[in-house]
Amino acid sequence: MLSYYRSFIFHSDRYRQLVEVDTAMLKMKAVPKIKIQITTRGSDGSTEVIRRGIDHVLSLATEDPAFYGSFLSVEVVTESTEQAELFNDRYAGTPLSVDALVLPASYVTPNGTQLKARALHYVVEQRRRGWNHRPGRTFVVHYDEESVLEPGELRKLIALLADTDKKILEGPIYYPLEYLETSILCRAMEAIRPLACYECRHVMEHGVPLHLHGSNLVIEEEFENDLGWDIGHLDGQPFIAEDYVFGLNAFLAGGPQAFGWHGSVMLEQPPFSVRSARKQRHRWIVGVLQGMAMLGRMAEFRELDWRLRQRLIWGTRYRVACFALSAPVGALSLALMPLFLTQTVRTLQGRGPAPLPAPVMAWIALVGVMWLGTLLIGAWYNVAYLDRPRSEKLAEIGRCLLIAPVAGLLESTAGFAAVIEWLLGQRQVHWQPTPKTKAADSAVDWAAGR
Amino acid sequence: MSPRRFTAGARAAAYAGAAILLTTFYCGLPLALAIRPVLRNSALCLLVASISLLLATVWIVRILRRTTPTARPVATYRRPTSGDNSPAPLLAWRPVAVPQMGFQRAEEVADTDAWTIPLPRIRWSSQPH
Repeated sequence: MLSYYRSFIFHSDRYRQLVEVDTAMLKMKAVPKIKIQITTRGSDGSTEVIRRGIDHVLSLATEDPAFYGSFLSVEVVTESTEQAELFNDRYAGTPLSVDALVLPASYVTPNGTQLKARALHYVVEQRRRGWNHRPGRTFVVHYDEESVLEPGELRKLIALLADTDKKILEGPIYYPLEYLETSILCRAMEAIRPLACYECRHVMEHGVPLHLHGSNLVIEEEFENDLGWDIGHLDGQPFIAEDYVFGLNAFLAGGPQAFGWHGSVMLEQPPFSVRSARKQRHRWIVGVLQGMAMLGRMAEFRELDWRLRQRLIWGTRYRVACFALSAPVGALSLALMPLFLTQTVRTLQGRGPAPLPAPVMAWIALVGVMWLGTLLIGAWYNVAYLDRPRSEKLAEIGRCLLIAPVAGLLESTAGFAAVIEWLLGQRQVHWQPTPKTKAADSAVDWAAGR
Repeated sequence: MSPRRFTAGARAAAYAGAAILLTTFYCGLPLALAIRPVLRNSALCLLVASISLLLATVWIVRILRRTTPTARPVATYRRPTSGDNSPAPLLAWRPVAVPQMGFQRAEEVADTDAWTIPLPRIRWSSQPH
Protein backbone atom coordinates (compact mmCIF):
# COMPACT_ATOMS: atom_id res chain seq x y z
CA MET A 1 0.00 0.00 0.00
CA LEU A 2 2.95 2.27 0.64
CA SER A 3 3.96 1.89 -3.00
CA TYR A 4 0.45 2.91 -4.09
CA TYR A 5 0.77 6.07 -2.03
CA ARG A 6 4.28 6.76 -3.20
CA SER A 7 2.96 6.83 -6.74
CA PHE A 8 -0.16 8.80 -5.73
CA ILE A 9 1.69 11.48 -3.78
CA PHE A 10 4.88 11.93 -5.74
CA HIS A 11 3.96 10.98 -9.31
CA SER A 12 0.27 11.84 -9.67
CA ASP A 13 1.13 14.16 -12.56
CA ARG A 14 2.14 11.13 -14.62
CA TYR A 15 -0.95 9.09 -13.72
CA ARG A 16 -3.32 10.40 -16.35
CA GLN A 17 -3.26 12.78 -19.26
CA LEU A 18 -5.00 15.98 -18.28
CA VAL A 19 -4.27 18.19 -21.27
CA GLU A 20 -7.14 18.05 -23.73
CA VAL A 21 -6.31 16.98 -27.28
CA ASP A 22 -8.48 18.05 -30.19
CA THR A 23 -8.78 16.76 -33.72
CA ALA A 24 -6.72 19.63 -35.16
CA MET A 25 -3.81 18.68 -32.90
CA LEU A 26 -4.07 15.06 -33.97
CA LYS A 27 -4.01 16.02 -37.62
CA MET A 28 -0.57 17.52 -37.14
CA LYS A 29 0.78 14.19 -35.92
CA ALA A 30 1.70 11.02 -37.76
CA VAL A 31 -1.01 9.00 -36.09
CA PRO A 32 -0.66 5.21 -36.13
CA LYS A 33 -3.42 2.82 -37.14
CA ILE A 34 -5.54 1.88 -34.16
CA LYS A 35 -7.65 -1.25 -33.84
CA ILE A 36 -9.97 -1.49 -30.89
CA GLN A 37 -10.40 -5.16 -30.09
CA ILE A 38 -13.32 -6.40 -28.02
CA THR A 39 -13.11 -10.06 -27.11
CA THR A 40 -16.29 -11.71 -25.88
CA ARG A 41 -17.90 -15.08 -25.45
CA GLY A 42 -21.13 -13.54 -26.67
CA SER A 43 -23.01 -14.48 -23.53
CA ASP A 44 -26.22 -12.83 -22.30
CA GLY A 45 -25.88 -9.14 -21.62
CA SER A 46 -22.64 -8.72 -23.55
CA THR A 47 -24.24 -7.30 -26.73
CA GLU A 48 -25.67 -4.26 -25.01
CA VAL A 49 -22.51 -3.27 -23.24
CA ILE A 50 -20.30 -3.87 -26.28
CA ARG A 51 -22.66 -1.66 -28.28
CA ARG A 52 -22.21 1.09 -25.71
CA GLY A 53 -18.42 0.89 -26.02
CA ILE A 54 -18.47 0.97 -29.83
CA ASP A 55 -20.98 3.84 -29.86
CA HIS A 56 -18.51 5.96 -27.94
CA VAL A 57 -15.81 5.24 -30.49
CA LEU A 58 -18.31 6.05 -33.20
CA SER A 59 -19.11 9.36 -31.56
CA LEU A 60 -15.44 10.27 -31.92
CA ALA A 61 -15.38 9.12 -35.54
CA THR A 62 -18.39 11.31 -36.36
CA GLU A 63 -16.38 14.39 -35.35
CA ASP A 64 -14.34 14.00 -38.52
CA PRO A 65 -15.35 10.84 -40.39
CA ALA A 66 -12.68 11.08 -43.09
CA PHE A 67 -9.83 11.60 -40.65
CA TYR A 68 -10.78 9.10 -37.95
CA GLY A 69 -12.09 6.59 -40.46
CA SER A 70 -8.65 6.49 -42.04
CA PHE A 71 -6.90 4.94 -39.05
CA LEU A 72 -9.47 3.93 -36.42
CA SER A 73 -11.37 0.64 -36.51
CA VAL A 74 -13.11 -1.81 -34.21
CA GLU A 75 -12.81 -5.58 -34.21
CA VAL A 76 -15.19 -7.74 -32.19
CA VAL A 77 -14.22 -11.35 -31.61
CA THR A 78 -17.14 -13.42 -30.46
CA GLU A 79 -18.26 -17.02 -30.16
CA SER A 80 -21.78 -16.04 -31.23
CA THR A 81 -22.54 -15.93 -34.96
CA GLU A 82 -25.73 -14.03 -34.30
CA GLN A 83 -23.94 -11.39 -32.29
CA ALA A 84 -21.36 -10.96 -35.04
CA GLU A 85 -24.12 -10.44 -37.60
CA LEU A 86 -25.79 -7.88 -35.36
CA PHE A 87 -22.64 -5.83 -35.08
CA ASN A 88 -21.79 -6.10 -38.77
CA ASP A 89 -25.31 -4.93 -39.69
CA ARG A 90 -25.52 -2.17 -37.15
CA TYR A 91 -22.32 -0.42 -38.02
CA ALA A 92 -22.43 -0.91 -41.79
CA GLY A 93 -22.37 2.48 -43.46
CA THR A 94 -21.09 4.34 -40.40
CA PRO A 95 -17.80 6.28 -40.47
CA LEU A 96 -16.27 3.56 -38.35
CA SER A 97 -15.06 0.24 -39.70
CA VAL A 98 -16.47 -2.45 -37.38
CA ASP A 99 -15.63 -6.08 -38.14
CA ALA A 100 -17.00 -8.94 -36.13
CA LEU A 101 -15.08 -12.17 -36.27
CA VAL A 102 -16.63 -15.44 -35.17
CA LEU A 103 -14.43 -17.84 -33.26
CA PRO A 104 -15.16 -21.29 -34.69
CA ALA A 105 -16.24 -23.80 -32.08
CA SER A 106 -13.78 -26.29 -33.54
CA TYR A 107 -10.77 -23.99 -33.33
CA VAL A 108 -7.83 -25.39 -31.39
CA THR A 109 -4.54 -23.58 -30.83
CA PRO A 110 -1.25 -25.45 -31.31
CA ASN A 111 -0.64 -25.43 -27.53
CA GLY A 112 -4.21 -26.26 -26.57
CA THR A 113 -4.90 -22.83 -25.06
CA GLN A 114 -8.45 -22.38 -23.79
CA LEU A 115 -10.84 -19.67 -22.59
CA LYS A 116 -10.25 -16.05 -23.52
CA ALA A 117 -6.65 -16.54 -24.65
CA ARG A 118 -7.91 -19.00 -27.26
CA ALA A 119 -10.05 -16.27 -28.83
CA LEU A 120 -7.22 -13.76 -28.57
CA HIS A 121 -4.85 -16.15 -30.30
CA TYR A 122 -7.39 -16.85 -33.04
CA VAL A 123 -7.37 -13.16 -33.92
CA VAL A 124 -3.58 -13.12 -33.91
CA GLU A 125 -3.55 -16.04 -36.34
CA GLN A 126 -6.03 -14.25 -38.61
CA ARG A 127 -3.93 -11.10 -38.54
CA ARG A 128 -0.78 -13.05 -39.31
CA ARG A 129 -2.63 -14.25 -42.42
CA GLY A 130 -3.42 -10.68 -43.38
CA TRP A 131 -6.95 -10.21 -41.96
CA ASN A 132 -7.75 -6.51 -41.68
CA HIS A 133 -4.15 -5.68 -42.46
CA ARG A 134 -3.37 -1.99 -42.51
CA PRO A 135 0.00 -0.69 -43.59
CA GLY A 136 2.14 1.22 -41.13
CA ARG A 137 2.57 1.04 -37.37
CA THR A 138 -0.57 -0.34 -35.77
CA PHE A 139 -1.71 -0.60 -32.17
CA VAL A 140 -4.37 -2.89 -30.78
CA VAL A 141 -6.40 -1.41 -27.92
CA HIS A 142 -7.90 -4.23 -25.86
CA TYR A 143 -11.34 -3.70 -24.38
CA ASP A 144 -13.34 -5.84 -22.01
CA GLU A 145 -16.97 -6.27 -23.04
CA GLU A 146 -18.17 -3.31 -21.00
CA SER A 147 -15.22 -0.98 -21.54
CA VAL A 148 -15.79 2.61 -22.63
CA LEU A 149 -13.21 5.15 -23.73
CA GLU A 150 -14.80 8.56 -23.97
CA PRO A 151 -13.88 10.49 -27.12
CA GLY A 152 -11.67 12.91 -25.20
CA GLU A 153 -9.68 10.08 -23.64
CA LEU A 154 -9.43 8.32 -26.97
CA ARG A 155 -7.98 11.44 -28.57
CA LYS A 156 -5.38 11.66 -25.80
CA LEU A 157 -4.52 8.02 -26.34
CA ILE A 158 -4.12 8.51 -30.08
CA ALA A 159 -1.86 11.51 -29.50
CA LEU A 160 0.33 9.55 -27.14
CA LEU A 161 0.56 6.53 -29.42
CA ALA A 162 1.69 8.78 -32.25
CA ASP A 163 4.84 9.60 -30.30
CA THR A 164 5.61 6.52 -28.25
CA ASP A 165 8.28 3.93 -28.85
CA LYS A 166 6.73 1.52 -26.33
CA LYS A 167 5.18 -1.75 -27.42
CA ILE A 168 2.82 -2.51 -24.55
CA LEU A 169 1.04 0.19 -22.58
CA GLU A 170 -1.70 0.46 -20.00
CA GLY A 171 -3.86 3.17 -18.50
CA PRO A 172 -6.09 3.66 -15.47
CA ILE A 173 -9.58 2.19 -15.16
CA TYR A 174 -12.48 3.69 -13.18
CA TYR A 175 -15.78 1.97 -12.46
CA PRO A 176 -18.68 4.42 -12.86
CA LEU A 177 -20.81 2.56 -15.42
CA GLU A 178 -24.06 1.03 -14.20
CA TYR A 179 -22.75 2.21 -10.86
CA LEU A 180 -25.97 2.78 -8.97
CA GLU A 181 -27.44 -0.46 -10.29
CA THR A 182 -24.85 -2.54 -8.43
CA SER A 183 -24.65 -3.62 -4.81
CA ILE A 184 -23.13 -1.07 -2.41
CA LEU A 185 -20.74 -3.81 -1.30
CA CYS A 186 -19.51 -4.17 -4.89
CA ARG A 187 -19.14 -0.41 -5.20
CA ALA A 188 -17.02 -0.33 -2.05
CA MET A 189 -14.89 -3.19 -3.41
CA GLU A 190 -14.36 -1.34 -6.69
CA ALA A 191 -13.32 1.77 -4.75
CA ILE A 192 -10.09 -0.01 -3.86
CA ARG A 193 -9.08 -0.37 -7.50
CA PRO A 194 -8.35 3.12 -8.86
CA LEU A 195 -5.54 3.64 -6.34
CA ALA A 196 -4.12 0.26 -7.33
CA CYS A 197 -3.84 1.70 -10.84
CA TYR A 198 -1.34 4.20 -9.45
CA GLU A 199 0.87 1.21 -8.86
CA CYS A 200 0.05 -0.07 -12.35
CA ARG A 201 1.67 3.12 -13.62
CA HIS A 202 4.78 2.46 -11.57
CA VAL A 203 4.90 -1.16 -12.70
CA MET A 204 4.43 -0.30 -16.36
CA GLU A 205 6.94 2.56 -16.36
CA HIS A 206 9.52 0.35 -14.69
CA GLY A 207 8.73 -2.59 -16.94
CA VAL A 208 8.42 -5.29 -14.29
CA PRO A 209 4.97 -6.83 -14.77
CA LEU A 210 3.95 -7.74 -11.23
CA HIS A 211 0.45 -7.53 -12.66
CA LEU A 212 -1.24 -6.54 -15.88
CA HIS A 213 -4.91 -5.99 -16.61
CA GLY A 214 -6.37 -7.18 -19.87
CA SER A 215 -8.42 -4.09 -20.64
CA ASN A 216 -7.10 -0.62 -21.36
CA LEU A 217 -4.14 -2.63 -22.57
CA VAL A 218 -2.55 -1.33 -25.76
CA ILE A 219 -0.16 -3.55 -27.69
CA GLU A 220 1.75 -2.85 -30.85
CA GLU A 221 0.21 -5.21 -33.40
CA GLU A 222 3.52 -6.53 -34.71
CA PHE A 223 4.69 -7.29 -31.18
CA GLU A 224 1.41 -9.03 -30.35
CA ASN A 225 1.58 -11.03 -33.57
CA ASP A 226 5.13 -12.12 -32.78
CA LEU A 227 4.21 -13.14 -29.27
CA GLY A 228 0.70 -14.53 -29.73
CA TRP A 229 -1.65 -15.62 -26.97
CA ASP A 230 -1.06 -19.33 -27.29
CA ILE A 231 -0.06 -19.64 -23.66
CA GLY A 232 -1.01 -23.30 -23.36
CA HIS A 233 -2.14 -24.70 -20.05
CA LEU A 234 -0.80 -25.64 -16.66
CA ASP A 235 -0.99 -29.37 -15.98
CA GLY A 236 -4.10 -29.61 -18.12
CA GLN A 237 -5.83 -26.64 -16.51
CA PRO A 238 -6.41 -23.53 -18.64
CA PHE A 239 -4.84 -20.24 -17.59
CA ILE A 240 -7.53 -17.92 -16.26
CA ALA A 241 -5.40 -14.79 -16.03
CA GLU A 242 -4.20 -14.69 -19.62
CA ASP A 243 -3.33 -10.99 -19.28
CA TYR A 244 -0.84 -11.65 -16.48
CA VAL A 245 0.72 -14.57 -18.37
CA PHE A 246 0.93 -12.46 -21.52
CA GLY A 247 2.64 -9.71 -19.52
CA LEU A 248 5.26 -12.15 -18.31
CA ASN A 249 5.84 -13.43 -21.85
CA ALA A 250 6.08 -9.85 -23.13
CA PHE A 251 8.64 -9.10 -20.44
CA LEU A 252 10.73 -12.10 -21.39
CA ALA A 253 10.51 -11.23 -25.10
CA GLY A 254 10.69 -7.45 -25.08
CA GLY A 255 12.37 -6.59 -21.77
CA PRO A 256 11.39 -3.74 -19.46
CA GLN A 257 11.85 -1.11 -22.17
CA ALA A 258 8.83 -2.46 -24.06
CA PHE A 259 6.44 -1.38 -21.29
CA GLY A 260 4.85 2.04 -20.90
CA TRP A 261 1.91 3.97 -19.43
CA HIS A 262 -0.54 5.86 -21.59
CA GLY A 263 -2.67 7.54 -18.92
CA SER A 264 -6.00 7.59 -20.79
CA VAL A 265 -8.87 6.63 -18.52
CA MET A 266 -11.10 3.71 -19.41
CA LEU A 267 -14.52 3.37 -17.80
CA GLU A 268 -15.95 0.04 -16.73
CA GLN A 269 -18.63 -1.24 -14.38
CA PRO A 270 -18.53 -2.99 -11.02
CA PRO A 271 -19.87 -6.54 -10.76
CA PHE A 272 -23.59 -6.49 -10.01
CA SER A 273 -23.60 -8.89 -7.09
CA VAL A 274 -21.29 -9.82 -4.25
CA ARG A 275 -21.16 -13.35 -5.60
CA SER A 276 -19.91 -12.15 -8.99
CA ALA A 277 -17.35 -9.90 -7.32
CA ARG A 278 -16.04 -12.69 -5.12
CA LYS A 279 -15.79 -15.07 -8.07
CA GLN A 280 -13.85 -12.41 -9.94
CA ARG A 281 -11.38 -11.92 -7.09
CA HIS A 282 -10.96 -15.66 -6.65
CA ARG A 283 -10.18 -15.93 -10.36
CA TRP A 284 -7.56 -13.18 -10.20
CA ILE A 285 -5.64 -14.85 -7.40
CA VAL A 286 -5.76 -18.33 -8.95
CA GLY A 287 -4.73 -16.82 -12.29
CA VAL A 288 -1.69 -15.11 -10.80
CA LEU A 289 -0.69 -18.27 -8.91
CA GLN A 290 -0.95 -20.21 -12.17
CA GLY A 291 1.23 -17.63 -13.92
CA MET A 292 3.88 -17.84 -11.23
CA ALA A 293 3.91 -21.62 -11.42
CA MET A 294 4.35 -21.38 -15.18
CA LEU A 295 7.15 -18.86 -14.80
CA GLY A 296 9.13 -21.17 -12.55
CA ARG A 297 9.15 -23.81 -15.29
CA MET A 298 10.32 -21.54 -18.11
CA ALA A 299 13.92 -21.78 -19.28
CA GLU A 300 13.88 -18.11 -20.38
CA PHE A 301 12.93 -17.08 -16.88
CA ARG A 302 15.72 -19.08 -15.29
CA GLU A 303 18.19 -17.29 -17.55
CA LEU A 304 17.24 -13.90 -16.10
CA ASP A 305 19.35 -12.11 -13.53
CA TRP A 306 18.82 -13.66 -10.06
CA ARG A 307 17.81 -10.36 -8.48
CA LEU A 308 15.23 -9.68 -11.18
CA ARG A 309 13.79 -13.15 -10.78
CA GLN A 310 13.44 -12.68 -7.04
CA ARG A 311 11.81 -9.31 -7.57
CA LEU A 312 9.27 -10.78 -9.94
CA ILE A 313 8.49 -13.81 -7.81
CA TRP A 314 8.59 -12.28 -4.35
CA GLY A 315 6.94 -9.05 -5.45
CA THR A 316 3.97 -11.03 -6.74
CA ARG A 317 3.94 -13.41 -3.77
CA TYR A 318 3.92 -10.44 -1.43
CA ARG A 319 0.96 -8.90 -3.23
CA VAL A 320 -1.00 -12.14 -3.18
CA ALA A 321 -0.18 -12.69 0.49
CA CYS A 322 -1.29 -9.15 1.41
CA PHE A 323 -4.58 -9.66 -0.39
CA ALA A 324 -5.26 -13.04 1.18
CA LEU A 325 -4.09 -12.16 4.68
CA SER A 326 -6.41 -9.17 4.75
CA ALA A 327 -9.13 -11.73 5.50
CA PRO A 328 -7.93 -12.94 8.91
CA VAL A 329 -6.66 -9.46 9.79
CA GLY A 330 -9.99 -7.87 8.84
CA ALA A 331 -11.99 -10.50 10.74
CA LEU A 332 -9.79 -10.06 13.79
CA SER A 333 -10.08 -6.29 13.64
CA LEU A 334 -13.89 -6.44 13.42
CA ALA A 335 -14.05 -8.89 16.30
CA LEU A 336 -11.67 -7.01 18.57
CA MET A 337 -12.81 -3.50 17.67
CA PRO A 338 -15.28 -3.05 20.59
CA LEU A 339 -12.70 -4.22 23.10
CA PHE A 340 -9.99 -2.12 21.52
CA LEU A 341 -12.16 1.00 21.49
CA THR A 342 -13.21 0.58 25.09
CA GLN A 343 -9.64 0.16 26.22
CA THR A 344 -8.49 3.11 24.11
CA VAL A 345 -11.10 5.43 25.60
CA ARG A 346 -10.21 4.27 29.12
CA THR A 347 -6.55 4.98 28.43
CA LEU A 348 -7.31 8.46 27.14
CA GLN A 349 -9.33 9.07 30.30
CA GLY A 350 -6.28 8.02 32.34
CA ARG A 351 -8.06 4.94 33.71
CA GLY A 352 -5.84 2.18 32.40
CA PRO A 353 -2.80 1.22 30.34
CA ALA A 354 -2.73 1.48 26.53
CA PRO A 355 -3.99 -1.70 24.83
CA LEU A 356 -0.84 -1.88 22.69
CA PRO A 357 2.61 -0.21 22.69
CA ALA A 358 2.81 3.27 21.11
CA PRO A 359 4.74 2.17 17.97
CA VAL A 360 2.10 -0.49 17.26
CA MET A 361 -0.66 2.10 17.74
CA ALA A 362 1.16 4.41 15.30
CA TRP A 363 1.36 1.56 12.80
CA ILE A 364 -2.36 0.79 13.21
CA ALA A 365 -3.19 4.46 12.65
CA LEU A 366 -1.00 4.59 9.53
CA VAL A 367 -2.56 1.45 8.06
CA GLY A 368 -6.03 2.80 8.88
CA VAL A 369 -5.33 6.11 7.16
CA MET A 370 -3.97 4.41 4.06
CA TRP A 371 -6.83 1.92 3.91
CA LEU A 372 -9.63 4.45 4.30
CA GLY A 373 -7.72 6.88 2.09
CA THR A 374 -7.70 4.23 -0.63
CA LEU A 375 -11.49 4.02 -0.39
CA LEU A 376 -11.82 7.80 -0.52
CA ILE A 377 -9.60 8.04 -3.59
CA GLY A 378 -11.30 5.22 -5.47
CA ALA A 379 -14.84 6.30 -4.61
CA TRP A 380 -13.99 9.87 -5.64
CA TYR A 381 -12.73 8.81 -9.05
CA ASN A 382 -15.63 6.42 -9.59
CA VAL A 383 -18.37 8.88 -8.68
CA ALA A 384 -16.69 11.77 -10.51
CA TYR A 385 -18.11 10.28 -13.71
CA LEU A 386 -21.68 10.00 -12.44
CA ASP A 387 -24.16 12.53 -13.69
CA ARG A 388 -25.55 13.10 -10.20
CA PRO A 389 -25.74 16.06 -7.82
CA ARG A 390 -22.73 16.73 -5.68
CA SER A 391 -24.57 15.89 -2.47
CA GLU A 392 -25.37 12.42 -3.81
CA LYS A 393 -21.75 11.91 -4.75
CA LEU A 394 -20.61 12.94 -1.28
CA ALA A 395 -23.16 10.59 0.27
CA GLU A 396 -21.91 7.79 -1.96
CA ILE A 397 -18.29 8.34 -0.90
CA GLY A 398 -19.45 8.25 2.73
CA ARG A 399 -21.39 5.03 2.09
CA CYS A 400 -18.35 3.36 0.53
CA LEU A 401 -16.21 4.29 3.53
CA LEU A 402 -18.81 3.04 5.99
CA ILE A 403 -19.28 -0.31 4.34
CA ALA A 404 -15.54 -0.77 3.74
CA PRO A 405 -14.84 -3.07 6.74
CA VAL A 406 -17.48 -5.55 5.55
CA ALA A 407 -16.73 -5.17 1.84
CA GLY A 408 -13.00 -5.61 2.45
CA LEU A 409 -13.63 -8.76 4.42
CA LEU A 410 -15.88 -10.25 1.74
CA GLU A 411 -13.33 -9.46 -0.94
CA SER A 412 -10.28 -10.73 0.87
CA THR A 413 -11.93 -13.97 2.00
CA ALA A 414 -12.32 -14.84 -1.69
CA GLY A 415 -8.56 -14.32 -2.16
CA PHE A 416 -7.81 -16.18 1.04
CA ALA A 417 -9.91 -19.15 -0.10
CA ALA A 418 -8.12 -19.15 -3.47
CA VAL A 419 -4.68 -19.28 -1.81
CA ILE A 420 -5.72 -22.02 0.63
CA GLU A 421 -7.22 -24.11 -2.17
CA TRP A 422 -4.04 -23.66 -4.20
CA LEU A 423 -1.83 -24.67 -1.30
CA LEU A 424 -4.00 -27.74 -0.71
CA GLY A 425 -3.49 -28.75 -4.32
CA GLN A 426 -7.03 -27.98 -5.52
CA ARG A 427 -6.05 -26.46 -8.85
CA GLN A 428 -9.00 -27.15 -11.08
CA VAL A 429 -10.24 -23.91 -12.57
CA HIS A 430 -13.66 -22.91 -13.76
CA TRP A 431 -14.42 -19.68 -15.44
CA GLN A 432 -17.62 -17.76 -15.80
CA PRO A 433 -17.23 -14.26 -17.26
CA THR A 434 -18.52 -11.59 -14.89
CA PRO A 435 -22.12 -10.91 -16.01
CA LYS A 436 -22.53 -7.50 -17.62
CA THR A 437 -26.18 -6.76 -16.93
CA LYS A 438 -28.26 -7.17 -13.83
CA ALA A 439 -30.56 -9.62 -15.59
CA ALA A 440 -27.61 -11.71 -16.78
CA ASP A 441 -26.16 -11.68 -13.28
CA SER A 442 -29.39 -12.96 -11.78
CA ALA A 443 -29.62 -15.70 -14.38
CA VAL A 444 -26.15 -17.16 -13.88
CA ASP A 445 -26.02 -20.69 -12.58
CA TRP A 446 -22.70 -20.56 -10.73
CA ALA A 447 -22.85 -24.22 -9.80
CA ALA A 448 -22.94 -25.21 -13.47
CA GLY A 449 -19.30 -24.22 -13.99
CA ARG A 450 -18.02 -26.53 -11.29
CA MET B 1 -33.58 25.35 -1.05
CA SER B 2 -36.02 22.74 -2.32
CA PRO B 3 -37.04 19.92 0.05
CA ARG B 4 -35.44 17.42 -2.30
CA ARG B 5 -32.09 19.16 -2.24
CA PHE B 6 -32.34 19.63 1.51
CA THR B 7 -32.95 15.90 1.98
CA ALA B 8 -30.04 15.03 -0.31
CA GLY B 9 -27.81 17.46 1.58
CA ALA B 10 -28.88 16.08 4.95
CA ARG B 11 -28.21 12.54 3.74
CA ALA B 12 -24.78 13.52 2.50
CA ALA B 13 -24.02 15.22 5.82
CA ALA B 14 -25.16 12.14 7.74
CA TYR B 15 -22.97 9.82 5.69
CA ALA B 16 -20.02 12.19 5.90
CA GLY B 17 -20.47 12.40 9.68
CA ALA B 18 -20.61 8.63 10.00
CA ALA B 19 -17.52 8.28 7.81
CA ILE B 20 -15.67 10.75 10.04
CA LEU B 21 -16.70 8.70 13.06
CA LEU B 22 -15.36 5.54 11.42
CA THR B 23 -12.11 7.32 10.59
CA THR B 24 -11.86 8.42 14.20
CA PHE B 25 -12.25 4.84 15.39
CA TYR B 26 -9.77 3.34 12.95
CA CYS B 27 -7.20 6.13 12.74
CA GLY B 28 -7.81 8.99 15.17
CA LEU B 29 -7.88 7.10 18.43
CA PRO B 30 -4.86 4.87 17.64
CA LEU B 31 -2.92 7.96 16.58
CA ALA B 32 -3.88 9.80 19.75
CA LEU B 33 -2.67 6.87 21.83
CA ALA B 34 0.53 6.62 19.81
CA ILE B 35 1.51 10.20 20.64
CA ARG B 36 0.25 10.15 24.23
CA PRO B 37 3.61 9.05 25.72
CA VAL B 38 5.11 12.21 24.18
CA LEU B 39 2.38 14.78 24.80
CA ARG B 40 1.00 13.25 28.04
CA ASN B 41 -2.30 15.10 27.68
CA SER B 42 -5.27 13.21 26.21
CA ALA B 43 -7.15 16.28 25.00
CA LEU B 44 -4.06 17.60 23.27
CA CYS B 45 -3.41 14.17 21.75
CA LEU B 46 -6.93 14.03 20.33
CA LEU B 47 -6.58 17.54 18.96
CA VAL B 48 -3.25 16.78 17.29
CA ALA B 49 -4.61 13.50 15.88
CA SER B 50 -7.72 15.25 14.52
CA ILE B 51 -5.69 18.00 12.89
CA SER B 52 -3.29 15.45 11.39
CA LEU B 53 -6.15 13.46 9.87
CA LEU B 54 -7.79 16.60 8.58
CA LEU B 55 -4.53 17.69 6.93
CA ALA B 56 -4.06 14.22 5.43
CA THR B 57 -7.58 14.37 4.00
CA VAL B 58 -7.06 17.85 2.59
CA TRP B 59 -3.81 16.70 1.01
CA ILE B 60 -5.47 13.68 -0.60
CA VAL B 61 -8.38 15.79 -1.88
CA ARG B 62 -5.97 18.32 -3.39
CA ILE B 63 -4.30 15.56 -5.38
CA LEU B 64 -7.70 14.16 -6.35
CA ARG B 65 -8.83 17.53 -7.63
CA ARG B 66 -5.62 17.93 -9.58
CA THR B 67 -6.01 14.55 -11.23
CA THR B 68 -9.70 14.97 -12.05
CA PRO B 69 -10.09 16.98 -15.25
CA THR B 70 -11.43 20.44 -14.59
CA ALA B 71 -13.69 20.54 -17.61
CA ARG B 72 -14.84 17.60 -19.56
CA PRO B 73 -17.91 16.46 -21.41
CA VAL B 74 -20.20 14.24 -19.41
CA ALA B 75 -21.65 11.21 -21.07
CA THR B 76 -25.14 10.40 -19.93
CA TYR B 77 -25.62 6.73 -20.28
CA ARG B 78 -28.99 5.24 -20.82
CA ARG B 79 -28.87 1.80 -19.34
CA PRO B 80 -29.18 -0.75 -22.14
CA THR B 81 -31.79 -3.40 -21.61
CA SER B 82 -32.25 -6.75 -23.20
CA GLY B 83 -34.68 -6.84 -26.09
CA ASP B 84 -34.34 -3.13 -26.56
CA ASN B 85 -36.15 -2.02 -29.68
CA SER B 86 -35.77 1.67 -29.13
CA PRO B 87 -33.28 3.85 -30.97
CA ALA B 88 -29.67 3.49 -30.00
CA PRO B 89 -28.68 5.49 -26.97
CA LEU B 90 -27.87 9.04 -27.81
CA LEU B 91 -24.75 10.30 -26.22
CA ALA B 92 -25.59 13.57 -24.64
CA TRP B 93 -22.50 15.63 -24.07
CA ARG B 94 -22.65 18.67 -21.94
CA PRO B 95 -19.95 21.16 -21.14
CA VAL B 96 -19.74 21.22 -17.37
CA ALA B 97 -18.62 24.04 -15.13
CA VAL B 98 -15.45 23.52 -13.14
CA PRO B 99 -16.61 21.90 -9.94
CA GLN B 100 -15.38 23.22 -6.63
CA MET B 101 -14.47 19.83 -5.18
CA GLY B 102 -13.74 18.04 -8.38
CA PHE B 103 -17.36 17.06 -8.77
CA GLN B 104 -19.50 17.83 -11.76
CA ARG B 105 -22.47 19.98 -11.03
CA ALA B 106 -24.45 18.70 -13.92
CA GLU B 107 -27.77 19.71 -12.37
CA GLU B 108 -26.75 23.33 -12.71
CA VAL B 109 -26.19 23.05 -16.42
CA ALA B 110 -29.18 24.27 -18.37
CA ASP B 111 -30.72 21.78 -20.75
CA THR B 112 -30.25 24.25 -23.58
CA ASP B 113 -26.51 23.70 -23.21
CA ALA B 114 -26.89 20.08 -24.12
CA TRP B 115 -26.17 18.81 -27.57
CA THR B 116 -26.44 15.34 -28.86
CA ILE B 117 -24.77 13.21 -31.44
CA PRO B 118 -27.37 11.25 -33.35
CA LEU B 119 -26.35 7.70 -33.99
CA PRO B 120 -27.80 5.20 -36.43
CA ARG B 121 -30.94 3.43 -35.36
CA ILE B 122 -30.87 -0.25 -34.68
CA ARG B 123 -33.68 -2.67 -34.20
CA TRP B 124 -33.00 -5.69 -32.05
CA SER B 125 -34.68 -8.59 -33.70
CA SER B 126 -33.29 -11.12 -31.27
CA GLN B 127 -30.62 -11.54 -28.66
CA PRO B 128 -27.44 -13.58 -29.03
CA HIS B 129 -26.92 -16.73 -27.08
